[in-house]
Order: sequence, then C-alpha cells, then structure tokens
Amino acid sequence: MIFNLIFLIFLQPLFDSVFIFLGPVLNYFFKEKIKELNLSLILFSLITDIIFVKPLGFFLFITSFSIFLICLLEKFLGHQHFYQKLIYLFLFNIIYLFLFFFFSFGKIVSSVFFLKFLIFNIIFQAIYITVYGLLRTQK
Amino acid sequence: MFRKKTKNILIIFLLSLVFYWLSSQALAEEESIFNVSLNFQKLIKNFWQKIFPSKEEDFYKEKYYELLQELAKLKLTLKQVKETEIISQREKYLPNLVSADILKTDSFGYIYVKNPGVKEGAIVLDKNWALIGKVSKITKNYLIITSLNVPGLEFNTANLDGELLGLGKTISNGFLEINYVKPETQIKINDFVLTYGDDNLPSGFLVGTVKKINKTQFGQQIIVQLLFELDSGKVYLIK
Repeated sequence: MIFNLIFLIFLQPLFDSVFIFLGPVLNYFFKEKIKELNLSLILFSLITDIIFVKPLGFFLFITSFSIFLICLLEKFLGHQHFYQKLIYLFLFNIIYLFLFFFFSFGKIVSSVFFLKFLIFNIIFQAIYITVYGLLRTQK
Repeated sequence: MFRKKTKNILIIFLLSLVFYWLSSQALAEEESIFNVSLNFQKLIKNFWQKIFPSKEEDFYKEKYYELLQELAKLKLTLKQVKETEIISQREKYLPNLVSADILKTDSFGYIYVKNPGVKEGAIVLDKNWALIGKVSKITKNYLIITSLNVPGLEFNTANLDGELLGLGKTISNGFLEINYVKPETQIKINDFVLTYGDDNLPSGFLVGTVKKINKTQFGQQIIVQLLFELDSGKVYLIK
C-alpha cells in the first residue's frame, strides 16, 4: 500500500497518459481482495483527483462505476485465466476511458487520442498485474 | 464472494456519485488543495530533471530547432512582412502583455499556470509570439489554458497573404488539420498559417507551418504542425 502510494505521488505527475492507481485497484479486483480493493480505490482515486486537478470524487465515481459494470459481467465471464484477464482489462478500460473522456471533454473527441490512452493503460495494467503476481510467488 | 464484491462496489459508486456532485458544487474550496498539488508536482518535475538532466542529443536537437526557427524568421524578413498583421499585432498587444510561470502541462493539452490577473478568454502566446491557446478557467491562484494540443478545437485559418484557408481543427499531438481548402489555393510545405477572422480566436496570430498537403476529391486537406513551445517554462498572456 505504501509502495503504491509513493509510486502514485512521485510518478503520476510524469506520466499523464497512464492512470497508475488503476494498477493496484485492478490487481486487488482479480485477487478477490475486497477490503484492499475498497480502501485503495477510495484513497488512490482521491489522490489522483488532486494530481489531475479534477473535482474530488471524479475518479472514484468513474472507476467504481466501471468496476461495478465489470462485476456484473463476472456473472457471465470468469477471470481465472490470463487471456480472460486481458478481456476484462480491455472491457474495463473501454468503459473507464469512455466515461473519462465524456466527463472531461463532454464528448469523445478523437479516436486516435482514445486509442493511445487505451493501449498505454492496458499495457501498464497487464505489466503491473503480471510483475506483482511474479513477485508474490517468489516470496 | 461475487455478491459481496458487487454490493461493496455499488455502495462506493452511490457514495461517490453524491460526493462528486457535492464537490462540483463547492469547487471554490478545493482550489487551495489543487494549488498545493500543482506546486508540488512542479517540484517533483524539477527534481526528476535534476537527477536526469537533458542529454547531449537533446541539446543538439534544441540547437537544430533554434536554427530552424531562425531560418523561419529570416524567411519572414525576406518576404518583407513588416506591414503584415503579425507585426501590427505585436505593437497592438505589447503593452498588455504579462508573463506567467507554467505549473503543469498535461497530455490532454491543458496547461496550468500561476494567475497573473487576467480575464477568462485571454489569448496565450509563447516567447516567439506563436499562439498557444486561450484561458478557459480562472481560479484565485492558478488558471487553466486550453492549448491548441487539445483535440477538437475549431477556428478559421489564413495564409500569410491573409487569404482564408478554411476551418482548422486540432487533432492533438501538436497538429492541426484544415479540410476542404479550395483546390485553386496556392499553398506550399513550410508556409506559415495564421488565425483568421475574430470568431474563436482573434485574427493574425501565428499558428504553425504546413507539414503535409493531401489532394482530396473535395479540394485539399492541409496538415499543420503547431509552432508553440513551452520549454522556457513561461507563457505570455494578453490582458
């Protein structure tokens, strides 16, 4: 948690195309750690609001809504396997970025811009979850 | 497990909805938090820059860019554009110019700067008098500039002779596209593009140079590379 916090505060200002807080949040989501998921979701999204200069509660609102929709999808899909995790990440990011762009610009302005964010975020989250999983198994 | 997770997230979502709504209503109180955050982010950026200073390669890139700019300026003098609008704009707006420090630039094209006391809608320029954008939001301590990097901004454009080229639309990453330019309009690569009319932006400000010309069945499509740069850490606003 503390490592994630430092990671968020010191690296997020340098990388504006990637939402770093989604890494730990989605990791807890896949690990079925509900307490940690809720706690990091609230804490990290509020810090991200301040870093991105958005009204407080903005990222909490769009992230929790996206996760809620993904939770409902869990009824139909399972996320035990890696390729399914990737489908999850893809769906989550599409919903999340759609909400983000809609509430920031009022519309989806540019498909290239959207695609760039989508690819960067999926790559970051996939790397985060894989590296975190590897580190845990080594311990 | 599934039900517990869904229920938990639903509760957080409903709470966040209320929180977000309340927060948007009372934005004025948040300003000081965001100001502290912006200054802190500036510190972090400076800190990283001290640890990883710009490499020699970057230095030569900068030199090359400076040379290109000087060449562009020489071209301007050769064309004897002293009487054109760019020069007259300088004389017109120079007394009302104020500089401001950049706190943060984000990848969406928004620039956060310290508030030197300008009004909403003020025009923002860089040190070479190239157009950066427009002030879109004012707060007590800082202001937010919508730069030409924000995708989807539309304004009319003209060439150096003052002829209307067409409606330009920003496409992010430092480019602007002008669609449906008349086929008979003579335009070359590296020609300067200025603002036209007084619709969204006042006329006569330097926007960029022509990078690519595509012939289409409806005329020409011009891709313009924006000229403004923020390396100096300062912007100039017209009061």
